[in-house]
Amino acid sequence: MKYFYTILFFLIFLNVSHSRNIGETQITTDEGIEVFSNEKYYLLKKNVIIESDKFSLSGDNIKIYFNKDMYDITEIEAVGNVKLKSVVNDINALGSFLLFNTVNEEVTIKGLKSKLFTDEFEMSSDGLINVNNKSGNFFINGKNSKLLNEDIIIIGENIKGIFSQENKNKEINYLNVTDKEESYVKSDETDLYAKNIEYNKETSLIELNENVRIIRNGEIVTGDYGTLDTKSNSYKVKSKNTKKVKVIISNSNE
Amino acid sequence: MNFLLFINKRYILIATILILFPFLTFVSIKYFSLNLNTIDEIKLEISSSDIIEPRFAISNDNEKIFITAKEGNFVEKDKILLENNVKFTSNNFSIISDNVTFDRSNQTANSNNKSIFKSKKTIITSEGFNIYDKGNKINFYGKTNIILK
Repeated sequence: MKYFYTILFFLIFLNVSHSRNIGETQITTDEGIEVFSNEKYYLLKKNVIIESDKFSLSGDNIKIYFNKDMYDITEIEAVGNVKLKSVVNDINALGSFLLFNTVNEEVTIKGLKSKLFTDEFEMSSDGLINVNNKSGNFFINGKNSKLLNEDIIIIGENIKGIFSQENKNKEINYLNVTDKEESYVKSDETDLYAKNIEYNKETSLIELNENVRIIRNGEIVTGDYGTLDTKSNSYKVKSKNTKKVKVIISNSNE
Repeated sequence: MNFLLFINKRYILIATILILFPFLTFVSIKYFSLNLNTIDEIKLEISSSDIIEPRFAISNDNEKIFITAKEGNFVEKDKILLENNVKFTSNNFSIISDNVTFDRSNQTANSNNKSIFKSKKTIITSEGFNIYDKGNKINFYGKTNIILK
């Protein structure tokens, strides 16, 4: 019993001595840390866990750049099984590489099955995901790039856009999706296909370029250029001189 | 007449000197030899290590790191094992450990003992450390805990 209490005391003491207070950032590593004073960064080695009031981050190896002193973090570069949970920026991210700029509040995730979630959106890619929380700019590039929320599905090799910064709930103000083969946007009950799809909230227009295909209620319209007015929910499809606009109306929906 | 009055005073003086001189010489030699022995003993007690309270410094372009300890023992010509309350202090940080090997020629230091690093708003506890590149680079070994305030 005496030994039990002794062990318990040491366990409690060790736990207390390593615990983080409010406002502090705690970092633990399995194989130490290498500090480069002139280069102004430090390398955290193996099973790194960073816990702070604002975010938690884990990864196999993490490199932290600082400004004046070690606490003055400017950029975090994490490699291998990276997981980020930002309470302040409402971001969860997974990937094999992560770059987090604390000054610009910019997150970049690279690698297969990269994911970034907010309360409203889910981004995924086998290439790169970049979100700047200050400016609202985002960029998804590579195979299997997707941007989803409750109402919208966006699929394409290159997805870039701007989130609104006015409201707490993020909305897309601008969107540009390109794919060598076919980009896809699903909004409400309309499926939009084209090599390039561009949306601007100011004009309420979705523009489609090359290999355009719009599907709504069983109606398929194909052409070279198309527009969809999100306010009136009406669309137009044009074609180059050599081709004609093709409309297919499915019997099942008539 | 008293017999003593017949003795020449000179003989008495010479006899006295002859008796006293060896006696005083013997006593003084004994006295100094005793003192010398005690000084030797004290010296032996203190100098159980090669260097008492050693002080060194590592300099680079940005700062000077002062190294102090209670004891130091030469491991090799330029390598000194610093023991007990080893401190590295500069304007920017301090490291405290117990056993640190300091290499004078390469200006490096390493330890495999628990070490505590402190700088402004930063505390690092590790299972050892290695200072190299004139103190510009520090490698903390093993399971490491960092607190940034």
